[in-house]
Amino acid sequence: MMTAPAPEMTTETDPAMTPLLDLSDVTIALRQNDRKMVTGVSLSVMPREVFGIVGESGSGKTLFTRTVFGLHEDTYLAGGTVRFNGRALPLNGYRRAIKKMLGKEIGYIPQDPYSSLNPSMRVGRQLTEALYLSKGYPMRSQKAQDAAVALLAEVGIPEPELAFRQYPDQFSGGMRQRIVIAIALSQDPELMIADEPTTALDAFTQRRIMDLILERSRTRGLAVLLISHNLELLRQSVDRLGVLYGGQLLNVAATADIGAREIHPYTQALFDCVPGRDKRLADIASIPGEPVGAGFGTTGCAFAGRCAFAQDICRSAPLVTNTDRGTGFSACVLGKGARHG
Amino acid sequence: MTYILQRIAFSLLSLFVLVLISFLLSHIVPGDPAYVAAGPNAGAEKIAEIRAEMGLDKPVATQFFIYLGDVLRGDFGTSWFTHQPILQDIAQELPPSLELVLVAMVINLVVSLPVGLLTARFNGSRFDDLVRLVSIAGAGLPIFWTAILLQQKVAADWKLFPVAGRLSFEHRRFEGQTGFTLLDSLMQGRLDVFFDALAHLMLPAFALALLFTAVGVRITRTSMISEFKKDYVTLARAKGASEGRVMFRHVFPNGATPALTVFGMQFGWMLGTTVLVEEIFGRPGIGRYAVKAVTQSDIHGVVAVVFVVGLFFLVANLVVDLLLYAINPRKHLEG
Repeated sequence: MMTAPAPEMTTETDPAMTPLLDLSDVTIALRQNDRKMVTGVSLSVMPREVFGIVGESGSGKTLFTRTVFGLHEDTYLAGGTVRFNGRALPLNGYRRAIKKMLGKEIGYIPQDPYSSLNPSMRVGRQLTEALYLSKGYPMRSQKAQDAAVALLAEVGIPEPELAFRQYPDQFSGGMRQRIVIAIALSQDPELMIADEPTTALDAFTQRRIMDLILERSRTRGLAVLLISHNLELLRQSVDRLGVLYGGQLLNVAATADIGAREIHPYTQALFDCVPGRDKRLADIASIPGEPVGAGFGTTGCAFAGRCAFAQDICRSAPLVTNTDRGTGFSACVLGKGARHG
Repeated sequence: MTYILQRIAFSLLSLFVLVLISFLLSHIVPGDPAYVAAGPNAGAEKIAEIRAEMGLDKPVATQFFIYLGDVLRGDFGTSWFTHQPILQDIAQELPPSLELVLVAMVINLVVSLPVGLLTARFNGSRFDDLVRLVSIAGAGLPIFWTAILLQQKVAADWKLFPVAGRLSFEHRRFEGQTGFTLLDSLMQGRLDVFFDALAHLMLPAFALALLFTAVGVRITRTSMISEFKKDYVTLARAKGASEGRVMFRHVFPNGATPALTVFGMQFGWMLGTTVLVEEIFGRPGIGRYAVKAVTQSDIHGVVAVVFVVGLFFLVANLVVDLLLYAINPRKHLEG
């Protein structure tokens, strides 16, 4: 066995460094009937990495995220291991363990800024509460107030002192999402989860909010886990992309590889559907067949029914999982999109 | 500010409608009031004289404005069985009823709000099922039946509370300035009277509160459930807030708002329901006064009670609305 790693091995881009978040063979089931909705997901998010999770509606991406971070009551972690900074969380009492990290190591930005702020609480108080919960600043203290105003300024709220005293419904959707981001940033997390942070916003605001999240996390050195169904937004924003379909993780691809080298047939099919400036309407593809919902299971590939390359083995072979969690991964049994070298 | 003025203007309009309805009530009752007032042995001449005296020979519109003026001055006429001005009767009978309603309302709120919040939090649990069962049963029990049962079992058989009345015999001469026995006894430092009055209030207040509490729990639960589903609850949890903080600091203030509107209306309904409870427990009050007025065919007494109950209904709703506005001025400006 090797002892301590050599000093040059610990630079921040080194693949051998400890992942911030490391999921191994994670299975998520419904509390009601133990039905396994998300199966065998293995992936890792490195410190300072921006990792995207993409999937169609019903693919299980929100269920997956909310369960892994203890924010879903109807589901539980039925198998696998979750490590944060190299420390494994217990499977028994998982939710309690992960909830202790919320508001400390882990920050969260929910989907809909119109309902994610408490309507009857002043913006300032929602920030000072976050500061109190993570850092113990007394909520009415000048210290908490100054920190909150500084955060509002940091996320680009004009007149932050005024905003501090206002109620959420005095702000537009984009401004509200900025406030939510300020709340998440106030707790100095190492990992920021953004669960469809721009879905409820118009296209211009989407880009600006996304830029704010990326720019702030780069400056503060946070890793971001971005969940979205907006492929173009993800391609422009993230370093790597995990693709969920039918509750299976089908592909982990570097965004640089998309369009440049072979990726999983499902991911390829998804990106073929994205309209672009250089595409004519007739060139925009659609995937034949109906999408499969989460909970497909571990026998066969969930995409086999719609895949142009599908063979008999695709329907019967056990699900390929991302055991070594390298930079890229493809669950395709035919080897499509697997990285060689 | 505009909202407050609008709300007050609306209340005044409702008050006008209330006066109109109470006026019509006294005019659509079958039988000639002058005939009844004159008594069985009066001749046609005497009846005509009384009719002129009561203003019944004037056009209906004129009669209404005379009535409106009287009501605004607090003149509801003279009772036919107490031979006092009805306003004076009401002033005397209202405090015991309000006391009963306030205690019942306290029971209602103290049970409904926390139980509603907890059943919403543990929606679908055994506890939720049990509470649902009890509240459906509670909402289905007729008040007079609950009252009689409580009186028979808890008061007469088990002797835990007094059977009837407002105060025990030895305190019968107790007098106070406000007419609210609980308040007066405290102001005079008479704790014995206070606890005696409270003991007399418990069963009637409980009987009165049961139905309203059953409804209150359900209403609170429903509005809290919809709050628990909102993203701000997820964000609060993601901030690391404890479940207690999520429930009491975040969900409760938002979920209580729609429920409070219902509680405001319940206050007025309760005052109208005191009739049953006061009669059974032999308590003085506006409900019992109404029963007497009805049995004595004292239409002015009945109309006055209807008017006063309606007035309190309007006031309670106005107070709740202004209270909600004070808590969160923003909500009303948009909605």
